[in-house]
Amino acid sequence: MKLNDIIASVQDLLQGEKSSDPKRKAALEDLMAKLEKKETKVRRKLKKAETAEERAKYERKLTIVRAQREKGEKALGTLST
Amino acid sequence: MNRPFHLVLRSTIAGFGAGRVIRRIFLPVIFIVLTVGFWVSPDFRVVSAGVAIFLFGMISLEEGFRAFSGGHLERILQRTTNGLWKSISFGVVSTAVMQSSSLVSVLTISFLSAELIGLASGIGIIFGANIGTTTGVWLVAGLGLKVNIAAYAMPMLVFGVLLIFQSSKTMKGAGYILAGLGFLFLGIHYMKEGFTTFKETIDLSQFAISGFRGLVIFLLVGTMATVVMQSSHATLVLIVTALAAGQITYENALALAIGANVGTTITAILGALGANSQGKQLAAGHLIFNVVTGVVAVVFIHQFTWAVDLISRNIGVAADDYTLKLAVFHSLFNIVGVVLMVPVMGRLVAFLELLFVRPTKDWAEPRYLNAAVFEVPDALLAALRNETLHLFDNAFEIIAHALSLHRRAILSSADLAGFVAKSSEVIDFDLDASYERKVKTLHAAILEFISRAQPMVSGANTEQLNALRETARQIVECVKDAKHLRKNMLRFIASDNQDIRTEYNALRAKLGTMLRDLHRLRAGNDTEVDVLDLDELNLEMESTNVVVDGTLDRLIRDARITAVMGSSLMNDMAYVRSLAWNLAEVGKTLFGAVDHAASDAETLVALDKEDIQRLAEPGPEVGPRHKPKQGEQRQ
Repeated sequence: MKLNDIIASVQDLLQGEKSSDPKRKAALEDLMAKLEKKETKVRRKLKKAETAEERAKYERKLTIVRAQREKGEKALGTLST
Repeated sequence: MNRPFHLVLRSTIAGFGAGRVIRRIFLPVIFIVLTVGFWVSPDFRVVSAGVAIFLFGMISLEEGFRAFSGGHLERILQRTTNGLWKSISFGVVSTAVMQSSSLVSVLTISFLSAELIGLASGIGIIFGANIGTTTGVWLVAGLGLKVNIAAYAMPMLVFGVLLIFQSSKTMKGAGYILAGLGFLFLGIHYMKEGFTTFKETIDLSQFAISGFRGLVIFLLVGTMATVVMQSSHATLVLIVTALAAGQITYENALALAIGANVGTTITAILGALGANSQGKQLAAGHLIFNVVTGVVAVVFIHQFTWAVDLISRNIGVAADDYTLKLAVFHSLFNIVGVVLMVPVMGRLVAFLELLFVRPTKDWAEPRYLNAAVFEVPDALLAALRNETLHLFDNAFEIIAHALSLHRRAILSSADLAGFVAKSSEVIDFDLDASYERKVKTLHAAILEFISRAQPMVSGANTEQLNALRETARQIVECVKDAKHLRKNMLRFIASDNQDIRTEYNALRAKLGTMLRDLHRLRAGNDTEVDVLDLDELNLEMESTNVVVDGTLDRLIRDARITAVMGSSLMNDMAYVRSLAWNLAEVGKTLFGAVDHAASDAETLVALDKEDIQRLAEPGPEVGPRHKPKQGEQRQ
């Protein structure tokens, strides 16, 4: 463990609950990875869709996942700074 | 009069409610006895001060461990109690580390009341705690009496108090633990000193009583002493120090130790008074275990003393080292108790469930909210979450029936659009009465609980508390929307006009699909659906809005529905949107990630009303058939 990491850990310990940003960032990154997989899956299903109804359903899903990922990217930017 | 045993036991536990009256008389008597004792003997004063310091140390130690109960302890408890032997081991280790079976008992009752653990696991922990508490006697007899522990107490107190003054919760907790241990050591030192000098003035061993009479009398004294101090640990330390000073005989010390074990159940019983039926079941289980163990120890006292001599010889304890032999005896009879009780665990659990039956008749009765969960923030939040789920379940049924949909239709995998198109059956029920009975009283109980819980939580826990309060409000709002929607819906799903029937059935199908998804999320075993999918249903609701996409205008213009029907449909669309939105929000809070950070992440990426409206606008990929022309206002 580097000196900076040790200092950060000690600061976390002394500050108690205050320092939770790294955890939030890790959780958001994890969720973003899941959403990326979800988008790939939906795209595959959209390609295979046969009826107009099915296509509309998967297009709607795709729109939602994209919008969620967009929001997530923005939030990640805020957490990183 | 022959009353069944479980009824006698239930009334005994309930009878502790009269404990307040007894306490009012008891406390002045104790004050008088102690005052007279202090006046007669200065050495008695030293012993009593030792006991007081020791008890203060235990309180400090408990306070310290509570500081770590905001997550770590709970996580360990949940992970390590999914099997009987694991639960017993957890009880042994946690009590040995924290040196307080009372704290372990209270934590277990809190967790059981919030249904974070089952009754069998709870009883397992209590069994283990009984073995764990014997480590205290080993520590005092093996170390405390042979080493000058007061020398260690002083620096511990100084460092402990320094840490208590720190702002960090972790440091503060560590400070309380260190100071607690310091006080425990100091208390033991004073008890030891007091008994040693006491012997020079009064020799208490002259009051020793041998034989069975002595066994019974000292057993009762041990029980009473533990009831007064509410700590078997303190009683046992007192017994060990008195035995080391030769103030009591070995034979009487054994009886006192058995009595201390019986007396300690009082803590669990008092802790269970404010608990629900599960908490009371655990307290009764604790009482049964300790009484059975005590009876076995009394009946087979000669066999036990023989076994203690044998074990002591084999582990190198001198024949005249009575304090260590007492530790061997204490461990032995508690282990024997566990060995005897484990095979009948199933029957014991069944008996306890018969003893305190969980109320099931009235759904409106809160199931999880009780005073016992206030002891631990995580248990408090788990109880509140479970109660909000209970409220959701009640509301789910009302909303489904309000839409004239049976639960079995929603929970099946059948095509809901096809099902509602075929079925014009109206489910007749009194929605207002159901709301009052199953939703309103429960919502009121949740609000009251939250107002009492607010001062006991902080930080992220406060956020969770507020989120659950908002969720409960949204559930109530959903039922109200369903009630308003029902008025016209009942008329139009049985109407001869096929167009209006089709429009209302489409709304029923969409809401039914949302209820189905929520149920799948509630079950938690479906990997195909997650809380973020709820946004998709809202987008569908928004982008296929008949008011916005011109369908409504077309139906009126072509005289396929009347303008009055159109007005009703338009107003009801607002209820549907509100209902769908609130259901999605409820789902996100109740069925989303439990972990704070993961839950935060879900909230960050979830779409709000503005996002959904923006996406529903005509675009290159998805959008409604027409741009919004008019707002939808409830009338």
